[in-house]
Amino acid sequence: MGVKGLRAVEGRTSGRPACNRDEPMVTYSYRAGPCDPYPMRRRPRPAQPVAREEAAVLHPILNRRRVTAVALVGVSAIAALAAGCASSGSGGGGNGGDTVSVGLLTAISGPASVYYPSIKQVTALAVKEINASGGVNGKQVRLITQDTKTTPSVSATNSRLLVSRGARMMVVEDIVADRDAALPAATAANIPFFYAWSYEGGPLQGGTDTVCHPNFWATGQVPNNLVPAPVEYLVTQKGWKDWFLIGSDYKWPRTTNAHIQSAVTSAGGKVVGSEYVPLTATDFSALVSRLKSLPPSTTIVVNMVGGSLINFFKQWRAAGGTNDRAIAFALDEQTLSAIGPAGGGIWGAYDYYANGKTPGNTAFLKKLHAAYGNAVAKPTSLSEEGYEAIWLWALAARKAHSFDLAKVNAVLPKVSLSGPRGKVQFEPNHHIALPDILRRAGTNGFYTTTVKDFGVIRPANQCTPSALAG
Amino acid sequence: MILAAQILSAQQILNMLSDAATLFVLASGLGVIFGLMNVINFAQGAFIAIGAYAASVLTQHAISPWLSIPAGVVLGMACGLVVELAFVRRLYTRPWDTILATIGLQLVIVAALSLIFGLGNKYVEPPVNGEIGVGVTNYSAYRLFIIAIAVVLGALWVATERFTRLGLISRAVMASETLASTLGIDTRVVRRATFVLGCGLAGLGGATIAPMTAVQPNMGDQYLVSAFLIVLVAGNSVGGLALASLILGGVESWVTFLTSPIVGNIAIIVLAAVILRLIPGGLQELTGPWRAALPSQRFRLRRG
Repeated sequence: MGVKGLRAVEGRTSGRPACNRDEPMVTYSYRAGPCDPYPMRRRPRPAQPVAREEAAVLHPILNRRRVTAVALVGVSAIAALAAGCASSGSGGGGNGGDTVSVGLLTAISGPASVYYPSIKQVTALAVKEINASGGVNGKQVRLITQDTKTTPSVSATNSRLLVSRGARMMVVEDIVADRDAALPAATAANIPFFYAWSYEGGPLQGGTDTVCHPNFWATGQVPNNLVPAPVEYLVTQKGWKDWFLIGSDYKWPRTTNAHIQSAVTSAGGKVVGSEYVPLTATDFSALVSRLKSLPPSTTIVVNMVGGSLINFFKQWRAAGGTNDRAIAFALDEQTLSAIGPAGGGIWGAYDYYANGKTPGNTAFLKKLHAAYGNAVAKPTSLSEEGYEAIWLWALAARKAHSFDLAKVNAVLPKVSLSGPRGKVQFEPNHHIALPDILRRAGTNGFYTTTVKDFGVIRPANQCTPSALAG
Repeated sequence: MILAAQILSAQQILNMLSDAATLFVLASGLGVIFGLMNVINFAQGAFIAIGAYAASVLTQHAISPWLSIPAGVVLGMACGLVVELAFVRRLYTRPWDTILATIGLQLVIVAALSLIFGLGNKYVEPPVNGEIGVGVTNYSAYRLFIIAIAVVLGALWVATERFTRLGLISRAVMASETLASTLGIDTRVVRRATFVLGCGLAGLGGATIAPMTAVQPNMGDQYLVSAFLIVLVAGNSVGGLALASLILGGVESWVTFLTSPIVGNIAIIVLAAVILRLIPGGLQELTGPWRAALPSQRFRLRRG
């Protein structure tokens, strides 16, 4: 059987008809037939002349249909924008009618974002409670959150976005660089600005002078809330004479270490050395070697932040260091959990502890658990200040019966809240007298042993009074 | 006093070795991919994070931490395979587009890790704890473990390259891909295997450093710069990579110890620039006969 016979038996499977060489090929032009082993491609036809209307449709780019479509899209886009601007021009997207917007600017991504899960919960809880107790001046509070990406340029842009969305108050819970980038938008828009983290204070205490503004209110600790009392106690009562200061290389650790140095020397101790590491450093083997060459009675102050703390303490413990004389001032419980058992015994002095047993904190934790159940993120000294910032603003706006900046600013030092840190009230210098408690960490991610409670410590003046008066 | 100095210098030497070992393990994945395919994989930091998260998942479920390194390798290879089949294989002829694509991939992986694991730091249990006596001093057992891992990795790599068929094929593809494909080697499969292996090595690096560091979605970024420096200085061979890790890691460690971490960072970059100026082909030039270069290529490299 030849090939033809095989095909007849199997049946055709391809598209071409069977090749029959006996069939005459009758065509007027050459066309590939079934027996042609090299079929030609179809020759392109020459362009046919068309009428003018058809030419307008058939032009590659500028034809009537396309221009009409683009015009329609453009006009509808402009109309939508105009409608949107008109509606938001009347007092902000959330401020029309019966809601008032509150802006929260924090790090949802980037290195400082580890605190966000808790910040989100405590601020949402504050807004929920305010609304449940009648809102502010007859309006319900709406929280708008924006991400700073831990980047100052993004922070500046998003603070302007918050203002354009009609926020009547801005809370920033992020690093100082992002705060300073966000502040101009708030001051230009005449809204109060709350900074809800511990920081290095104002120019009179060695800090930055961006905070000397009548709109600026801080609910976090400044160095004199935090440092002098525990340091003096440790030098005089515990006999810790020699101190070695470590910090990440930026403003807060350097300023805090300067306060520590003056507290140590005035109490009779001695600072034997200091070292500053870049924020991105991951390997501390050289530093650990240097620390191990110091006498074991030397106190080491670890004023690093974030991931550096975790790296350092894991490596310090792996190299055989002990935490008996290690103290940190920015090690919140969230970071402590990530250090794990290597964190046992670290000393710390803070205004708020996640397992604090004060009546205010017990009530606060109960409310958090009721709201979030098992998904509750541990509130720490680096997240719960946002709760008090929003509540204090709400109380001031209620008392002033207005959202006007001058009235709210006048009333803010007069309202007080009993919250997680006890009674908080702004002083005339725009900061809060806060508790300071010295504790030691356990191995379970909490500070378990209270050593000394120094009571409530008033914040020193950070700015000259004339700067605050505006 | 002399004993203290001895202890300090012994500790510092061990510090230097463990730093070099860490850098070697982290840069090995990048070196494999760069060496074979001349492709710069900017997503390497993200794969390091994947390996570290694999280790953290094991710790979370209280599984033995000895399995964290194999888990990191397996997860890194799996993710590398998915990525390779999805889009990297289309980009081998477009090196500039690969740079852009891998930068985007890194952003996607970091965001995915944030979504899956959340933003907080995770705790990872190390397989060995405590200290071991080494000579005059005690030293962290885990850091010695890292040195052991690096040595084993280097030995396996050299043995694979020299003594196995896979090594022979990869050396052939490294020397000349066109000629290798005429010999019947499927270069697509070789490229895929190389990419997957490079990602697996990055996962290994992540699982190795996880107990010593903060496990966060963007933890890999800071290791990426050092890894790139080492790979660029080293060139294409494992010997070059080892030598580069030792030199750069050692210099950084000593300079940091003697002065400050910032000067250490500067020193490593200046040293890398100096090495590349003096030995343009990279440190592979100094490590001899294990390179895969053909004689003609060797001559070209030496001419700089």
